[in-house]
This record gives sequence, structure tokens and C-alpha cells, in this order.
Amino acid sequence: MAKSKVRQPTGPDAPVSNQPKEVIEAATKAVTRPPSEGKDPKTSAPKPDGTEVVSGHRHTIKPLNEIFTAPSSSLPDIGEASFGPPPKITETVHGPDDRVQISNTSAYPWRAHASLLITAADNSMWIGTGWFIGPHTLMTAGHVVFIKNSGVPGRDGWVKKIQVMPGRNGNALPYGSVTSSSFRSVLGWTNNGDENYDYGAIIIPTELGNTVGWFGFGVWSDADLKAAVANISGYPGDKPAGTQWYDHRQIASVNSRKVFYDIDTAGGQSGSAVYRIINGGRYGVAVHAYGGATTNSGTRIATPVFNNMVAWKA
Amino acid sequence: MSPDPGIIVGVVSDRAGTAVPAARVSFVRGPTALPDIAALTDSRGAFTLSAPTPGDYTIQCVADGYAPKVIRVSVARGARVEVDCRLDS
Repeated sequence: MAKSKVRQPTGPDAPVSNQPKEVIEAATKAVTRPPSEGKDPKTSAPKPDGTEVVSGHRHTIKPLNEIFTAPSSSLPDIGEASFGPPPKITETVHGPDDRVQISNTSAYPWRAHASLLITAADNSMWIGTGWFIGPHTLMTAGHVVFIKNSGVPGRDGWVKKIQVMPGRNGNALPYGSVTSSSFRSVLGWTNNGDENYDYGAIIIPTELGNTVGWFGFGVWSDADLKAAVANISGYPGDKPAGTQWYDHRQIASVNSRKVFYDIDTAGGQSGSAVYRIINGGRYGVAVHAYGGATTNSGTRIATPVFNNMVAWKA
Repeated sequence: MSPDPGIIVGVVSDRAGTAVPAARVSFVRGPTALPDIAALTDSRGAFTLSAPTPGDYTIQCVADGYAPKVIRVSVARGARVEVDCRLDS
């Protein structure tokens, strides 16, 4: 990606913060967009097909019409013979649950994903996911940092604080935790609650990203994205507390502001990186935000989103 | 996001009625795509979720050491719905 001076977006992508303007301007400096693996990364090389090597993750990349074909019979799973019918499959997990747990979360790229513990303005607590894009900046969903139209008195607005736990593995915090009260988002989300602008950032008071590494990010064409495999790793609430889970699948569709995919996710994964692997480097293409009945979706890294991300990681 | 969401208010407890704090509660199905964030129950096992549009919702209550519980609720615009999520160990 060629370096160029980024223009601050206007309109719905106009950046906003809970911090005073002079604090933000003082932090601006020139930055790059490629990933960094951090210190002593112990990185596992990805596969040539653009997916991660994860023990136990078996489903292969196929066109969607080869995956979803009508069964020729209606036999129940053999497991029911011993264990009875399975519990209802959650709808943000589409079809069989393909997610696998990441055990080596202290290695890159897994340690660049962070478990988030969010304290909202009314002191309610939530969980989400973030991912490093620079030494002191994580991307996440807009609704992780700014709650909109909750209908609950005292809850709307910037959250009070977020505890950031990179590479968390259950109770283990291999890189400790850091608490932030400095957040970024855009007017399209904070003023309008428009899901097309549901993205934001967490600025931490340390340079922990220099240790854990960070993801690159970029803007790609519709055709390029629709031919790409997307990967998601995050901290779903339907699994044991604080465990990181991964899945991948070819991107299903895109529009100018969103990316859609059948990658299995669950509540708690809001803010996860939707990323592709290019020449061994991990690059975010969207920020996971919504679970749907048939596809899940994330806020696409379009040009104004990219420009904000460049500014926020400075 | 709807300016007049419904509210789902609930308590997660065990079969004996003891509150389960730090349980994860999230939507798994609804009439529209929903934020993939999960609420944590407080010390009283209580949680509040916003239902952005009227319709039928499925929520899931999960806590370590318990079997997950799925609850279905119908929420009207601006309505407050109470649920009781009892977990089996």
C-alpha cells in the first residue's frame, strides 16, 4: 500500500472522540499500514489458501453452493443415539459450529486479538473483542465504545472504560491487561446510530502493541473481497469464559460499507477483525459487528474508514 | 438502531434460585441483525438487553459449569419484557 497523506473524513465518517481535541492533535504523527508481528512472535505460518493453521479446524474452502446442498435423507446425527437431540444451534453460528479454540494465544497472530471487558455509562458490564492496529490502538465495533439507542436510562453514550486483555486464554493473561478510557468513533455511529458506520477504536495508555504485534489493514475492490477468504478470531460468550475461537470462510457478499460472511460467531465477538492473509501478512478488511439469521456482517474498511484508522493509530 | 427499542430484563440463577453473576447473555436470533456483544450479569444475576425492533428474539444464557439456556421472547415496540433464566449444572 503506497504511503499518502490521508484526508480527514467528513460527513458520517467524521471522527469523534471522548477526548479533548488538543489531546488528539498532540498525538498525531506519520504511520504505516502493514502488520507487525511484535517481539519474539513465534508466529505460525498460515496456509497458502489464506487461512490459519489451527489444530482441529477441518472444513475446507468451497464455493457456498457446494457447501449448502440439500441432504438426500433426513437421518439424525449418530450422536443422538447415545446423547439425545443436540441443543438448539445458535443462529449466529450457521449450520455446524466450525469454530476451534486457540490454545497458543501468546503467539502472533492470536495475541494481537484482545478480550475486552466493557463498563458502560450505567455501570453495566459487557464483553467484546478488539485487535491491534498499532502500538497503542485497537480497532473494535462502534457499539463497543459508544452505546446508541439502548432505551436503558443512563446507558447511552461513551462507555466508561474498557479492560483490554491481549491474547487472553481463560484465566491466563500472557500480556497482562491495560484499562483504557480513551475512545474513537465517527458521527455516523455516535450521532445517527447508522450500522454502516459501526466502527471505533480504543487507545491504550501503553505501547503494548510493540510487544504483541498488530494487524495490517487496507481497502480492496468488491471483486477482490468476494474472491477472498476471511478469517475471524475472537472471544465469544457462548464458550468458556475468556477463550479465543477461530473460524474462516470465503466472503459471501459485500456492499459499499459492509462485508457479509457465514463465519461462525457469537455474542462477545463484536469488534473482531475480519481479516485476510496476503503473502503471509494479516490484513483487516472489516470489523465484525452483527450476527444475522443467515449471514454475519462487519463494517467494511472503505477509504474513509481506512483514513480514520491511519489517524487513530498515530 | 431504533429510537424506541424494547427492553428485555432478566435474572440468571441456578435451579435453587441463587444468582449467577458474570453469566454471559446475548442474542442468538432476532427479527434483524443484532450486535454481537454479550452482557455480563451483575452480582444479582441481573441483565438488561435492548431489542431494537419489535419481534421474536432468542437469547442465550451461558455460565461456566452450567448448561447453556435458550429463551424465546416476543418484544413489542417500547415494551419491557421480563425473563427468568434458570441454569442447570
